[in-house]
Amino acid sequence: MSATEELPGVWADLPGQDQAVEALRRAAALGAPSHAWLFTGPPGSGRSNAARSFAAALQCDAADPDGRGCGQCRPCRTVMAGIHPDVALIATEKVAYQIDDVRQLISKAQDRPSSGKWRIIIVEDADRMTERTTNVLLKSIEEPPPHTVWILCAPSPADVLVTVRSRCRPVTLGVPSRTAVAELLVRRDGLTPEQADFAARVSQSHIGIARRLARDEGARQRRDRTVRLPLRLGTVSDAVIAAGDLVELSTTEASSSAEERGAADTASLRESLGLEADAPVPPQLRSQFKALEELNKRRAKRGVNDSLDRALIDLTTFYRDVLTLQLSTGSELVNAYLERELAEIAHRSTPEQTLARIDYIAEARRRITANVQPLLAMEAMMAGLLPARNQGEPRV
Amino acid sequence: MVANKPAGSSRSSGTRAGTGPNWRQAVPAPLILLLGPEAYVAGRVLDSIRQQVKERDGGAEVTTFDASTYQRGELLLAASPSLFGDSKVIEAMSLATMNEDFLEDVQAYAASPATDVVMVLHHSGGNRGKKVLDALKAAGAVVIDCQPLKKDAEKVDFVSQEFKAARRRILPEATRALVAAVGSDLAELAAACTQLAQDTTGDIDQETVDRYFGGRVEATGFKVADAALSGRGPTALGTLRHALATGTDPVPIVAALAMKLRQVAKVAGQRKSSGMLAKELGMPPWQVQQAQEQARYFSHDDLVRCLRLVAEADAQVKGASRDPQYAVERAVTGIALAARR
Ligand SMILES: [Zn+2]
Repeated sequence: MSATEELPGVWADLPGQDQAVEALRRAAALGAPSHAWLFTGPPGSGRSNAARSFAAALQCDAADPDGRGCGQCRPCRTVMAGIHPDVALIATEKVAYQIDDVRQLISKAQDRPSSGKWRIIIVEDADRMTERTTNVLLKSIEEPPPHTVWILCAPSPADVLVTVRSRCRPVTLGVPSRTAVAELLVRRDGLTPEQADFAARVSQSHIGIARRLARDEGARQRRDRTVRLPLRLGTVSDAVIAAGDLVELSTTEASSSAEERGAADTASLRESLGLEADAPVPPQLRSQFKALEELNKRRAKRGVNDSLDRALIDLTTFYRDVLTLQLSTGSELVNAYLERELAEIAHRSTPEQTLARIDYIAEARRRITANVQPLLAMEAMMAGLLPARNQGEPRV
Repeated sequence: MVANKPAGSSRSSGTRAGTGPNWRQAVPAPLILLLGPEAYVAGRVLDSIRQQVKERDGGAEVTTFDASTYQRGELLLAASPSLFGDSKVIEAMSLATMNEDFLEDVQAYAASPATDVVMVLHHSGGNRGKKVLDALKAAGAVVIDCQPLKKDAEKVDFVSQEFKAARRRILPEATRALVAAVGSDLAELAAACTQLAQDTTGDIDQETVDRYFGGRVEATGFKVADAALSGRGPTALGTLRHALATGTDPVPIVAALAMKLRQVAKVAGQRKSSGMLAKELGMPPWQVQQAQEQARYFSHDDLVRCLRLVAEADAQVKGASRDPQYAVERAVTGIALAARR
């Protein structure tokens, strides 16, 4: 399959994952899938999207088994919209799954599907399950009810207990190439090749982020302001103020992205229910909209930390670019448009200092997940990014 | 509550970008729209409007709706003239989760509101019902901002207004101590004002505030932080140990430490006047001055180290360490030792 060929139906949003998609389509066509799957791949590789597409293909009504995942039939559309009654998509809003959450999942897994062919449970971040919780889940995966399919998603197989891993059929997703992501953005989102290439580059091929950057001028500006923060650092006062700005940028980004996603989800729910955009919601359907609203609220809460983490990844790209220049590796710069500023910093500091700064950012990312006050974690990090004073590393 | 009467001529509190009048000046109108999540302020306006209508007309018939459980037609019924000629006040709450029935009825009502009815609506925020809000605004609704008070300066101003309305004097440092002690919740802050106004006589000074509210965690945290940042190690450590020994949670103490250190770091090395810094940094001038004083005790690199020390302490008290108490002690001692008097 060549990179430019558009994948059909529900698979269209998974660029550069041809091998995994082929395996999933074959499994769906056979109609007797394994009962437990483990989808792994780095953030942005489309783990959850792949899981959802696979679930759609399993439920699909298409007459030809090879065409399963048509994207047209009602099961395909409801699964993709996240409202199929027999497909549960579970994402943790907490830092770790609670044992009760998993018990509830398992009791759900015992039920026969209500209308679909399978009861499918997608666990979006299986890496956030504790060992005790995983052991509870294990029992259900060992002896699954005949109509149940579990799909666990995690960054890498090592993030899941070996006892669970060994019982799951693995699906590995890679980081798609920049070209593959850019092509998708041109084809599906109607971007110009230049826009698409920029978005794919600075997002480092993270499809969701790339799409958001391409579509939303505000998100692009926020990213730009984030990666320019190091240029403003001279004194401890600058560091503390920059930290405040970074937290504020991320908060804005989180609420704006939650709003956009909420609007998109509502629109697709309306479409799948056959409701016009501004038609009133009939009473019997209101609970579905209510549930979606609740989901969005929880998402927005988790979103601040997620978008802060994203901002720190963006910030890391800045210093990795600096390192690239300092070591003259000749590799492409992620933030090529800032080449002059990057070169200035590269010239004024040593590779060792750059490495230490990347470590400070990594430490801040760990602290965010460990529940340290975000502002405080950012301040400590920014203080670490300050130019060394005694060596006269000046402000750029 | 210190006072329900509208402070008609008094200076408006805060200068935030609101479209309508300050909430303290709200007077009855056919349509009053309370916008923003601060339920305490919304409650105060509702009380005040109700009271004003009652005083003006010698009584009022008050109907309250929850917009999320509203049933079609209720509004029309409530707005129709009373048998006994009483004035009517209609209060609609929870517009942020309004149902379709409410949405349609209120839109129709806004097209021609009854002039002898006072309707107050509270929308806490979000996109739900944007059309209704636009219709209400187009119909001339008085919009009153109910945003939470985030900055200390706004809370200080709030306290001043409360005592002014109660015709009492509170000294500036007492105001600041009160905000530091109970300022995290506006309702609690207002209740504290009422309590002080009722239980004391004469000017209210810091000692009075400390006596009433000094035991609060926030106040302890700030006391520890101020002592540490001023290089008074024994006081800082003594206060901290006493607080921890009596079961105080270390987490808010670290938060207070972080907040004070942040203020010091913000002004460190800045050559501008405290007035200019206050404006630029969004801090009240007294806070800038205090921070500037403490900043003199530290070198630039000291402050960098202290920031990292406090962040580390926060990670420790949030579970990275088995001995969270020592983690706070380490940060407090580190800061106090770095401060060179
Ligand atoms: Zn289909």
